[in-house]
Amino acid sequence: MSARLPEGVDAVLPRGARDLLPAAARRRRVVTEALLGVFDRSGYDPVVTPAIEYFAVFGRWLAERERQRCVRFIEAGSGELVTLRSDITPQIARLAGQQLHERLAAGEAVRLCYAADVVRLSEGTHEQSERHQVGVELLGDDAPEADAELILLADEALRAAGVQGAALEVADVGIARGLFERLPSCDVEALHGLLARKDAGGVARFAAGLALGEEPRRWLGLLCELFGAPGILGHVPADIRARWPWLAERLARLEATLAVVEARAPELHARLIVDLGEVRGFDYYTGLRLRAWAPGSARPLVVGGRYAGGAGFAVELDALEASLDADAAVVAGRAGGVMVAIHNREPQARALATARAEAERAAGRRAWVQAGLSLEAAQAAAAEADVLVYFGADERAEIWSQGQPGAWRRAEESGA
Amino acid sequence: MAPRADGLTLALPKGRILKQALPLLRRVGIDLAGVWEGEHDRRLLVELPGRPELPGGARVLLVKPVDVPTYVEHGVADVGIAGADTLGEEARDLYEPLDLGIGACRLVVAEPAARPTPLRRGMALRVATKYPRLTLNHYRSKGIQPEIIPLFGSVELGPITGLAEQIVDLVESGETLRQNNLREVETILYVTSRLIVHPASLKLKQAPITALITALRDALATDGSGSSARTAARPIGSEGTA
Repeated sequence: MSARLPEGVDAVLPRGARDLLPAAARRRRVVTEALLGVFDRSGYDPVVTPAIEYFAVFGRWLAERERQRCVRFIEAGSGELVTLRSDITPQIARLAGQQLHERLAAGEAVRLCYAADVVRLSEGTHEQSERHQVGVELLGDDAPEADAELILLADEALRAAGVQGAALEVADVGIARGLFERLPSCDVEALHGLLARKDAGGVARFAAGLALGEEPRRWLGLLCELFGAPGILGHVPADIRARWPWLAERLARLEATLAVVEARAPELHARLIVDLGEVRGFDYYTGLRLRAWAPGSARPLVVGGRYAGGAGFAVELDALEASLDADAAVVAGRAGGVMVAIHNREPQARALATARAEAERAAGRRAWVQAGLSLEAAQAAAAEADVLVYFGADERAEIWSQGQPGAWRRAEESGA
Repeated sequence: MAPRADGLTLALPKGRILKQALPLLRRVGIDLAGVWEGEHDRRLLVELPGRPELPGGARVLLVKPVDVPTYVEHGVADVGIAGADTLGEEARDLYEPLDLGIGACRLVVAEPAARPTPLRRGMALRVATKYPRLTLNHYRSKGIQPEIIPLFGSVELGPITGLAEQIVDLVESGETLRQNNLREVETILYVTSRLIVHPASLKLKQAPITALITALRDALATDGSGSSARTAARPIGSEGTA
């Protein structure tokens, strides 16, 4: 098979897909292991879900616009419609219903974590079609403390992966949705759009057309502007809380969640942004909605929320890595190890080099062989190595060590 | 790519809208006079030094109107000014906190005055437009699946040359339509320009952006400009996604 592309093939990959070369792939693995390590220490058990699902089962969780972004095909033999997973949470919900219901029914909380890729067709300006996620789901615990656990865990995970000081955005989509249910008959979808855009003027004009009391009208207007530090919860007028016990209950729950975060991590509490008017996010969200932002990434590093039966979040690895790239304090390291190179490709010389590499590995070092290179070419090929063992034409080993990238220093010489 | 950590980056639309936006921006402390020479100035990026009403200064990107939402959505700019037409054409994850009332126009369906095409469900129809998505949504709501003919300019030529039966385009006064013997059939969208904000910027640079929104809102309230256009309605399905 030729290493080059066939003639006439221009599009190398489908839209929104990309390769990671070794340095990026290695960092991806380090980041993934750091995140999974944090989740594991907090008792989240790993699960692996399949890349494909029956669309009739999976699609029930998705809004129409998300269903349209699923990659679907017909299963041979059955004629059933199958989809690539576009999101992990519906899979976990399916799994919970199929396999975990007895544990959940007994009152047990189930903690699961995963590292998985999801595929959503590129749509409009959403170019990225394949997303790499590492996430958690906490099932069977709907207390405010469970919401707080996820907020704290998300920040701990980001810090373990190298992102310090992310801003965590905490919202409760139940506030706006509760309001929708209690409004007089109106075009809820239009109002949803206005709130999603935080178009305060548009919301005010919409409210003016509804038969509403003074407080609800004022509250609708406030929804677009009540976001900021946790202190903004104090700006919710007392008369509105008094008038709507359901709203007072939701706000009290959010306050309880934030109080747990404040008690356990005051430094994180100072980085929280609360948004009472947030309505965006997956349709299956019912309460908490969590996002994390950090300089360097235009997209959120963490996306998650509470749904019927559980809550969870996913770390978006591409966004996280974009943020790491922008942080000058994070320096990518060399893979390290010993490269054993030989001048020629003769079997006897290769055997010598292979034996040397095995000896290095036996001593616990990373080691590999390159044959048929000049010293100069061997040094260039050893960019990822700390040490180069070079067998020249006389089969004597020269040991070179690399300080700064490309700066090679002769360490010693010994008999072969 | 993401916005600078300090100061604000604004993406502004070159051309007609900018002329109307500049006086408004000047009143809230974003004054390009003396820094940018006007439309003949070919620079695409200008820096405004910091001052009391604009601490940290601002970086201004001067871009094609249709590109403003892209700069903001990708986080290269924190805020921008974009028409409801451009915003309605693609679903984007942006906040649109303020209708600036400037750049008022309408997105309309038009056809030759002498050759009207009666619409019936399921009919074949060719429509020329710069707005394929808004156009498709409009006709689908009438049970028609049109053939969209995408054009980038002089859309009015479509029906004259027989390229399309109808067009969907922006009109301000309607003069261009009249001069080309076209008549308006229906308004799809009332368009004004809006302040748009990247979702992370609104939260991470809350103080300067909220100050900007408030100052613009106050400036609009005192001069009442564009109030006639504040009835702008947006079509369903134009909001951003998760």
